[in-house]
Amino acid sequence: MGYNPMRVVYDYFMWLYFQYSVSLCLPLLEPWEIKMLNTILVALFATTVYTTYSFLPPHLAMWTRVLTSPHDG
Amino acid sequence: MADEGVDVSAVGVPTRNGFKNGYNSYKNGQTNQEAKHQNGCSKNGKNGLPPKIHPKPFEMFEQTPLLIAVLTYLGYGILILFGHLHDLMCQLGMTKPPVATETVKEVNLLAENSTASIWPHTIIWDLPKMKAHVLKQAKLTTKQYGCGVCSSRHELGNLAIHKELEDLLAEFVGTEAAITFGMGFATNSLNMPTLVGKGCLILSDELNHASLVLGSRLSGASIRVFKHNSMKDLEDKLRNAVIFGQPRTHRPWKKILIVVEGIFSMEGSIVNLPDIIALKKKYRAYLYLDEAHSIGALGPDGRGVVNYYNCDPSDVDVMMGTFTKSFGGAGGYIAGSKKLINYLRASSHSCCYASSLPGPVVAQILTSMKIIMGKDGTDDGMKRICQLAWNTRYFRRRLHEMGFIVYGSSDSPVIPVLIYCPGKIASFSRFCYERGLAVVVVGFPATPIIESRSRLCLSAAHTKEMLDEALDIIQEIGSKLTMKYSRAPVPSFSEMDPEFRVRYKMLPDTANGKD
Ligand SMILES: Cc1ncc(COP(=O)(O)O)c(C=O)c1O
Repeated sequence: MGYNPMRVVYDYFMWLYFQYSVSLCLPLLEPWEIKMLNTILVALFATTVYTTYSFLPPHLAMWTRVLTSPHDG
Repeated sequence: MADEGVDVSAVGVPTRNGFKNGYNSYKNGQTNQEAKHQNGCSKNGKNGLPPKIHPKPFEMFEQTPLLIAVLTYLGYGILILFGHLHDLMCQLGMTKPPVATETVKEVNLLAENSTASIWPHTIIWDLPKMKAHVLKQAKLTTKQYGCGVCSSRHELGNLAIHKELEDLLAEFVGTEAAITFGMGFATNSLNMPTLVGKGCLILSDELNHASLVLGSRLSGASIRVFKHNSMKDLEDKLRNAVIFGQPRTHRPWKKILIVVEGIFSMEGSIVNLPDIIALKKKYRAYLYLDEAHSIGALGPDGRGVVNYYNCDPSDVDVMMGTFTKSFGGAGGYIAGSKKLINYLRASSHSCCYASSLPGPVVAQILTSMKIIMGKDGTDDGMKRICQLAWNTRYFRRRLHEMGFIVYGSSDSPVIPVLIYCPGKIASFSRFCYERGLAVVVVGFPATPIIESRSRLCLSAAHTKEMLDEALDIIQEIGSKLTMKYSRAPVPSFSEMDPEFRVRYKMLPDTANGKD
């Protein structure tokens, strides 16, 4: 068996998904429920990432300005 | 007030048994222990034998890791949400309620597969081998006494074979007398009301079996629950009970009954009997000991926790046990002083209104008890007891070394392995089953939410090969499910400990046992 880096990465992600699924009881749910839960979680995660990406830098910039400028209320 | 408590204790300490002295000489008592064993176990307090040595089993209850606890709650949250969603959809007619069609199929398979399973409890019988002998005995008895008794002990259900069993039982557990009942659960729940009632206090371990809980409630006595195996909590509650008496009236309690089990069936822990007996004597309480899991399985002679700790059987007021586990039969017993047994015989509901043990069952119990006691002329029973003790230590040590969180005492054949997440519970059971190992997993209502576990029960019929096979499967699946949570150092007990080898004479040959 040749050493295939793609395979290793793939296996690692499969392992991660497996750990995620047993920790959150996915084996006890129906297939459609699993899909639904995954969709919701992915959507939540994506929203979080997107909002962080788009709002955090300006927000941080604002606060640095507020905290560092001496003559600001 | 506090002075009063001290006074009571001073009166109550019996010096006769020299409990304190025996305890202090624990360290240097190895040789005495050996001498004691040749004398057999019963009535060791009466012959002026060497001081008592109480073994100190290793016991550990590791805390739940925080992350795992959070994940477990999250998992249950998700399950509850989807459960409600399911119910809603069923009500709206969008899905059909789930129908458990596959269960029957699985149950059949489990039964067929049972050679590799580690469920058959603490039974120390290798059933196929034993069958011929025991069945012959049972057949003879059936011819003589018939299948059922159809009457209670007070009426026509009092057979000669019952008397024989009770005499043998009293000898086995080392008490003056014993009485048997048709069901273990009913033994607890119907006899406790006979022993205590209004104006009495029951101090009950928090993990006591349902039958003890039911019995306590039926009795009408006040119930106070102490922390599992915590001598400090028990002493606090006892002292308060003695000092303050009954609520409002402050009359003294009529009786104080401490109710504990020998081996706790979910925790795998062994009751701290020497300390409880000391407390009981100090505060003049009574002790009710349920040996359902420990009788026939624990101690160098297989005679339960009293034998295991080398205590005097007469220090335990009520010794209760069942025949369902180690003896492979049915029913329960109570052993104690002659006075107590006569009282129970006359006034217990289960003597008056319940039918007595069927003859063939009694024959089975008699046969197995004789084998454990070595009265059948072989050392088969002793071999089994030692095999079980060895199996327990070996299996527990290997599990600890693999990094599982294992609850309980190093010598208890009930072995809870902690799993925690509900998803892992189901997967553990399924994966093990796919590989030919049937395991029992226990979840929320039977355990606290964040302490779900798999309960493995060892038997003397297991050989090292079987245990190794099971351990390999558990190892593989434990890694796959990342169940090896333990952060505590690996405990140092093992089946090779000299102290352990001295106690159990006929341990299996383990020259090649090192792996
Ligand atoms: C501690 C304890 N007491 C009593 C019983 C009841 O015994 P039986 O099954 O013989 O009714 C059990 C049964 O599991 C038990 O674990």
